[in-house]
Amino acid sequence: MVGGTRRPRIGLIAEDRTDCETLVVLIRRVAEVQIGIDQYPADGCGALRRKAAKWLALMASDGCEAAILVHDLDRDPNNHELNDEGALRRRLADIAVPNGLRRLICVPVEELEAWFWSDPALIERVGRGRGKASTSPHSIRQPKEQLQRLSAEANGKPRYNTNHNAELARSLDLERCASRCPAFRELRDFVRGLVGG
Amino acid sequence: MMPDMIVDEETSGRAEGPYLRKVMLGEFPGLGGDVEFTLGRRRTILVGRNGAGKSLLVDGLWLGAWAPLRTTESPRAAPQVFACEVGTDDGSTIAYRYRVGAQESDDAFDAELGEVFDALSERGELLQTWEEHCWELATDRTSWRIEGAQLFIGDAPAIKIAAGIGLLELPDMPRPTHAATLERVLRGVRRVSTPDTDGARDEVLVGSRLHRGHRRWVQPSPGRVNRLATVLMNRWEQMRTHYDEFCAAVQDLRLARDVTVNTYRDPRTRDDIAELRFDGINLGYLSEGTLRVLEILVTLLQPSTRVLLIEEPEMAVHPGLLERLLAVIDAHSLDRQIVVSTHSPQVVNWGHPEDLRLVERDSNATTVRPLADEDVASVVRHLQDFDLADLVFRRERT
Repeated sequence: MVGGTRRPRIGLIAEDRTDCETLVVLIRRVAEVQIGIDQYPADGCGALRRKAAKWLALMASDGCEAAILVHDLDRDPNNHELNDEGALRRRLADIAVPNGLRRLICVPVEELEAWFWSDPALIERVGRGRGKASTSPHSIRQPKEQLQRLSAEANGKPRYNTNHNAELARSLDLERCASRCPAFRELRDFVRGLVGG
Repeated sequence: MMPDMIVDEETSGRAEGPYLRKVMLGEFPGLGGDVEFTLGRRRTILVGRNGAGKSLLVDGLWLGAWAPLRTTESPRAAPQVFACEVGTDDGSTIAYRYRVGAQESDDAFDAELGEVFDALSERGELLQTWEEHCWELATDRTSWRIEGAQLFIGDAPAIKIAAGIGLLELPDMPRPTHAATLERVLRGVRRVSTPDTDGARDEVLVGSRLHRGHRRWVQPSPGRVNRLATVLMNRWEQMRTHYDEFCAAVQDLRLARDVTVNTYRDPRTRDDIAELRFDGINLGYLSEGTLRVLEILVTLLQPSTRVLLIEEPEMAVHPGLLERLLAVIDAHSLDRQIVVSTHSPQVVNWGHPEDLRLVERDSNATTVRPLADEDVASVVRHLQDFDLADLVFRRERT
């Protein structure tokens, strides 16, 4: 558990600004207490891996107690198979972490948008009654594009885009998402552990 | 004059619809020879050094697409030869090709006509010939053909037509198979070019006039900001749903919380005058980057847009705003093609390896190629440590 009456502060590294904004909403909802978040949006996964060590050091020097590093499990463009999650985790685990900084490596399958597919109410909202949530969102291929298509079918044009993710995250059913998405469950448990929940 | 942005009829953007698969530009000054390239179904990202020819490709594609629809006014500026392949919803491919030429004469008035031709040529008004051919690629079956001022539709006898006019501009002519599909794609090609601003800003007011009993907003004077204001005012007047969609996108991108239209009545002329305000600021006073994003949005959201060409979307745009803009563009690429030229690593990383087209200049000629298979394999290997942009912009292989 972090800090007495002091407001906990964590660092967040994600692949882009949209992911960061979405994760901030989710982390604050899970924490249920005031929490400071230093955001480090990378411009893609390569930049994330290159810059992560320096950003982690910066977080520690800026007083963060913990760091959350979120990296999608991408597909191989050659065969469209998911990459090896174990290998990705090992690469990310090799990034040096300053002493005293607790760290979570969170690996959503393919895209963060997969988490939205866990929530029937949210899918109904995007699809205006069309579409069906999934009990295993990590098995959905191209979850972001599927949301765009769902929205386009419902509205005649794709009203959904990733700028809406933070707004969608405000109404995501967290418990259902945790039960259906292992990566989100890890994130939830880590944040709750930090704030003593 | 071909418009960059056009206000037109309301059509549904729902269907994925026909799309450009391949384009060939020929006899277009600056390219140094014929250039052929394929286009992605959703995104095509043109990358290359300064001077490689990216802007020429964008110009050539736009001018070439519009030339068959404006044969009486524009072909001299367009590629003199243009060909394209259009993929359709039923899986077939339509091929189309035009060639612009000078009027030839072989009768007794040669000499006299020659003088006329010289005079016209000096004034840029040389009479032209127009040849075009549209056929189905798989079967090689001709849909129509224009040659020597004669129109051939399928196997029907030739129809004499005026010289220099294409089928898509001929009034009251039965439309052969594929003509509507081709026209929809060509008419749907839009361009947002790089701004040519002198840095001066001024308030923009748009006036109106009555046209067939309806109020039409008229561009007050030339210039992209005036054009943007006029397009938006006409959308506000005639296509309110699409205007509201534009306003929602503006809010989405956090460009402004409030977009308002103020209209006034000029007491002297009794004409209507309007201005657009973004969080209270007149459109004419907005920043260069904001105007650029507004231009892109208004063109992207136009229902009839099928292929949107954007030159350097990153120009004057903050990286955070660019990321949000690319998210909107990405969603709309479901039912329209996006072609961008760029020098931005952020834009390159937005795409996939198969979206990239490398524009190169060698021996004074421009070439375009997708990443080769070995390049893609290399990208996959290197993406463990690098981004697509690192490979495109940083790596030199000799």
